[in-house]
Amino acid sequence: MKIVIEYVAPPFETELTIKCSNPADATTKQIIQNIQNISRDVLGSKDGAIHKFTLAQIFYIESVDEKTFLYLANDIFETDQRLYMWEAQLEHTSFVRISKSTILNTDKLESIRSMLGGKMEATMQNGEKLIISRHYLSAFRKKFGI
Amino acid sequence: MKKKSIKTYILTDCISFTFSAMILSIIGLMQDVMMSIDNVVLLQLFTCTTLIAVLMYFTESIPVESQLAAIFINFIDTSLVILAVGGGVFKWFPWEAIYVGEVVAILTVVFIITTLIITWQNYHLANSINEIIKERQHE
Repeated sequence: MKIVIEYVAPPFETELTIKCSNPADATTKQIIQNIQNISRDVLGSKDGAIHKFTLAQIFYIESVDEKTFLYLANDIFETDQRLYMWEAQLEHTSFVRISKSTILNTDKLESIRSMLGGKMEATMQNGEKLIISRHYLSAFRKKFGI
Repeated sequence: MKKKSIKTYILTDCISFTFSAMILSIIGLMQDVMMSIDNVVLLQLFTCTTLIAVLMYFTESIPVESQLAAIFINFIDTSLVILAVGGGVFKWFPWEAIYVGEVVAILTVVFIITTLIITWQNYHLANSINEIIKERQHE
C-alpha cells in the first residue's frame, strides 16, 4: 500500500483522499471506517446545552447509575446512548471496554501498571486513573497486538 | 456483555478442571495414597470447578475497592466449595478440624502462588504495552 502525505500551509482543512481498486477489500474498509470514526462528530449534553466534539477528543466513556458520560480532557458530557451501544459502534477503533462500566480510548493512554490480583491501572494523558478488570484484559492487550 | 463474562468463566472452569485432573493424576501416580481417578471422581472434580466458577461469577459483582479484599473473596469462593462440597458432600477428606486446617493451608499456599504468578505476568505485559504507547507517542 502506498501512502502519500502532502503538507499544506494553513488555513486549509486536513483532507484525506483514498484511491483504491477494490473498495470491498477488508483492509480498505477497515481504514475507511477508522478514519470516519476518528473524524466523527459526537453530541453530548451539559447544563442543558448540546455540545459537539469529535470522537478522537474522548478519553473514556463511563456508565454511572444507568446514565452514560463522555469524558474529555477537562470536560464531562452526558450522552443518550447506552454503553453497550457505544461498544458496538467503536469495535474497530482505538476504544476498548476495560470494565463493566467503562470504555477507554487507547490513543489517550499515558501508561498502565500491574496491580495485585490480575487487575491493571491505566493512567490517562490528563492524569486520570482507571481500573482495567482482568476479564477485559484479553481484549485490551489485543488492541496493542499482544 | 454478560455473554462475554460467561464465556470467560466457562474457559476458566475448563482450565481449572484440566489442571486439577492433571495434578490429581500425577499425585496418584507418585504415591498411592489418593483415590483412583475414575469417572465419578472426574465428575466430582468438574462439579467443584464449575461451582467455583459460578460462585466467582456472582461474587465478581460485589463492589470492593481493595485488591486484597477482591482476592480474599475469590479465596472464600474456592475454599467454600472445596470444604463444603469436596469435603462435606463428596467425602474427599474427613470433616475434622485437622484435615480442614490442612486443606485451608494448601488452598492458601496455592492462592498466594497463583496471585504472584498472575501479578508477575501482568507486570511484564504492562511493560510491553507501555513500550508500545511510548513508540506511538514518538511517531
